[in-house]
Amino acid sequence: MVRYILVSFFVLCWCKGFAQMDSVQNLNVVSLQTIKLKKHSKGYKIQSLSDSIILKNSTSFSSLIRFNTPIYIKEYGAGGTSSASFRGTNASSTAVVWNGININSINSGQTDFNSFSVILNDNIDVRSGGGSIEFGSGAIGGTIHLNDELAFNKLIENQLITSVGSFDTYNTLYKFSFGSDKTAVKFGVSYNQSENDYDWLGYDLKNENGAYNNLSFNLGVAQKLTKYSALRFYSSKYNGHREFSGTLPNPTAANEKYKDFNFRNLLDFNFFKNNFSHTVKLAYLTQKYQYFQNKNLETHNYGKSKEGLIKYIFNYKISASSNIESYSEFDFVQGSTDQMVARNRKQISQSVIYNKQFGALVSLNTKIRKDWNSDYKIPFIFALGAEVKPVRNTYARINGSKNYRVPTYNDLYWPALGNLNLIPESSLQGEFGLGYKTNEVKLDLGFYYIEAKNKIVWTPGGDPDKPGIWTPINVAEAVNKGVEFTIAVNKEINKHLFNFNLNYSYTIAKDKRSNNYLTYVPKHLANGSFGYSRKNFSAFYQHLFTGKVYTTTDNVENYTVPYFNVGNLGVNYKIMNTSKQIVAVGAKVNNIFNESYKVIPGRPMPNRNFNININYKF
Amino acid sequence: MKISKILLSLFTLSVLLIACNDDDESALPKGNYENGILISNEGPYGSGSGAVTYISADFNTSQNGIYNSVNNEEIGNVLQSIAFSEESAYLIANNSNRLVKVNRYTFEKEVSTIDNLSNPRYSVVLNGKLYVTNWGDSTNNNDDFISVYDAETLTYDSSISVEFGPEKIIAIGNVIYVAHKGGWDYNNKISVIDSNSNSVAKTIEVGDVPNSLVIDSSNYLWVLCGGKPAYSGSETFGTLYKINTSTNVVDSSLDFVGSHPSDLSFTNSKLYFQNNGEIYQMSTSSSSLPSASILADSGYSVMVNNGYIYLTDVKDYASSGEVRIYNLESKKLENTISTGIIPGGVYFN
Repeated sequence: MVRYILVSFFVLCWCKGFAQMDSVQNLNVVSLQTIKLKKHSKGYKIQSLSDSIILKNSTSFSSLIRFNTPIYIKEYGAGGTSSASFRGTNASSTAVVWNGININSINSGQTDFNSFSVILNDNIDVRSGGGSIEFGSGAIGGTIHLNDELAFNKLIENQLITSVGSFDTYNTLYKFSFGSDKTAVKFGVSYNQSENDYDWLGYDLKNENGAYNNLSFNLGVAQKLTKYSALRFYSSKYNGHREFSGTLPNPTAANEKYKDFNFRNLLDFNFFKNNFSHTVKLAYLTQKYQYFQNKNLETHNYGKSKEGLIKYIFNYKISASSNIESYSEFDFVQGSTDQMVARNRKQISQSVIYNKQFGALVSLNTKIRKDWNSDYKIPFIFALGAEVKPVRNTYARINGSKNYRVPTYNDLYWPALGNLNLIPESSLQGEFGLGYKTNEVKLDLGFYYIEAKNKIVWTPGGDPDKPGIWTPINVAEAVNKGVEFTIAVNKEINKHLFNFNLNYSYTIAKDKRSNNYLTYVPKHLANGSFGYSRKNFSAFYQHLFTGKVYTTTDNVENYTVPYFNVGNLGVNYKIMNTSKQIVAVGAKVNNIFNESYKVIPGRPMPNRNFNININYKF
Repeated sequence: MKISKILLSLFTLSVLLIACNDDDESALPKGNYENGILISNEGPYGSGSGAVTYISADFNTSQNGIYNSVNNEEIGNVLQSIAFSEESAYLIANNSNRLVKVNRYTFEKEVSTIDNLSNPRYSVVLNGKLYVTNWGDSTNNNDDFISVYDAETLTYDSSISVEFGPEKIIAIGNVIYVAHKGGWDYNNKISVIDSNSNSVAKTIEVGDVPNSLVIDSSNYLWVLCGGKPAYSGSETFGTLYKINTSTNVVDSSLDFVGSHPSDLSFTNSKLYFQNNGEIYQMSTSSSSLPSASILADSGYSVMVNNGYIYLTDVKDYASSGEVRIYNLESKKLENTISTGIIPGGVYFN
């Protein structure tokens, strides 16, 4: 820790020096990673969250996703464990992808949406639909991409954001970017902390034991080696510390604490010449969590994992309109918990992707992938995607894919309970969408269908040889179908800028055996924002509607979480706006109507609260 | 207005008629939930509240969530158990560290406390005091205790430090017996607590994991031990202990072969328990374990009382459970009644 503080201090001084030498340039950076993702996602919907959107929900990754994407977030009280349900799928069916690498936990198969520092990544893409070919296990409902941009632009920029909010919430971010023709460097550090002891509306109680803090670092370096080759290095370190808040009617009973540590490194070497390109990626990732049932004691449960990954990507441009790509991957994983000794898992994968463009009218991706895993058989998978642009500004898109989710370490190896006979869950899905796109209006309407089988469920008596004992088995089948609708409008009228965004999703997710609705999947989910800006002033309003969810598998009405509406309002003013410096101050009111709502039974969410922030770019 | 007046007069009339027709004055109904069966439902795991189901004595009507509907509040996370005194019922919410006292017939809340509770499990009332078993911290085997309250006001009185994992608790005379199942670990002790001094008078060693206690009509304490489960890594099997409550000495013990019995109950001079997914009956005078079962069914919890066998079924732990009621005589399934989430205990009002 001390070492990192020293490093950041050093970098701070260093860039201060640079800043005096050169002038600040404000470039509208186009995300290269997003472009790459879009190229491989013909027929899929991708929503990009730019840094300006991220800044509006900068204190919580759960809030960012909840207010800006069609994903339902199941959060155990603000700041608690938090998982995603994308298109009605479960928590381990959304893959979180960091700079192209799947980072879902080896032990649980999920990613906790409250174990990120939101504003450290440059941008976030949300891709709806299956993506196991490129992103591996768990890319079923969709994928969330955390991108760091390293561009060879002439640039020196420092950014300092600090905010203070209700419940003793403090957030600080410092980001430094340097770019030249040959080199790009990015460094970021972020520290967030909160007492998070908000009032529980309607009760004479507080959110006890909900405090958190986290510190994270990002580093990215890119170097052009020759005219044809470049080397990129990404590193990210996260150290989070959370308490888990209590439930009604006695929140003081809560006494748990959770720590997690992530360390991710990726080296990317790219060589391209004529019609060939070769990319080698080496990744090394570690994760560790510690769970303290009693925060005052040292005794705890833990889980940790190490993962090494080698990827070789070969791309051959057959003609101006077609190319073929090969992805070869070797993955080595070692995971353990306090309950289980270290286990190794190896996986080799080979994918082939063929992309074809028929003039401006049709573009097509066809993909196949085969994996060989040391523990279980993974199905052969495929994906097809196509986009047709029949009339100017309109498009039709279609995709279909088979995807999988592998059993987690807990599923397989939990002492005496794990089941070594598990096979991966698989899902078959299809989607059809229509869209309209101009500079001012973007509209997309998609219909999807997902059929999942061999879903792993921990079931009492799952193994006939162990009556009454909980074991995981491949038993459940589910059908999810629905509609995703997105509209984005940007309009300028006499230098007044207006923007409007809306996501609406209609989801029917049912267990095939019982024909009951899956738990914690709202049928209706809508969020939207309205923004206005003129000169140095801007304001926005965000709204979220989440429909009723069932919490029991037999859909009993007594055990539902009712629908809720929440709104946030924010204003920003640039008090200085020159080519060298931008200073903006902002204020935000979260839950402006002081709505009493819950996402999970017994866990009220925050009452009306305030946040003021300063964003300084120099 | 008129209708309610008519209803009110009809009600008054009916009460008068009932009162007049009956020479026993105690027949006035004490509340909606008098004479019937109460099921404690643990509630959804992790979040949400436990709930109580009421079933009428003739099994014809039932109502879920009676505490919630009477008091318009929730009991708390994981309703572990209910204990009774003459007029009151004591509800323990394990995860919420909460103890609620209600009128056992109306289910109106009288008082609640969160004082000196740490993973509370079961309770018993003796001489105006309520004794609650507490596991304490999961990672600490040395902080387990019995917390003692005034049974009327739930004012905290004192704590008695005990062996780890105190679970079921039962009283006879001025003595309290506590079965140390072991909490998150495995234990094999019975504590004998003298209620005059509120101290542990003796610790009796029994089989591994004592899960249920009954006292028979000859004042013998029967302790059913499940043994350590296979996943503990050092599996042991069940045992049934008979303890003399006047000497607190083990009278006899019987060993189960290769199984993990549970849910001992005593009614009409016979013992009942479940083993290997079936229900067994045994005479208190028997010198060996029964070889044949009386019913090929089992439950998350089992209670045999006054001519009926009650089995709770928790289904997938995430949906409404049910209680199956068998006639003890004919072994016929009399009724299946839907309950709340994870029905864990069966009690009689």
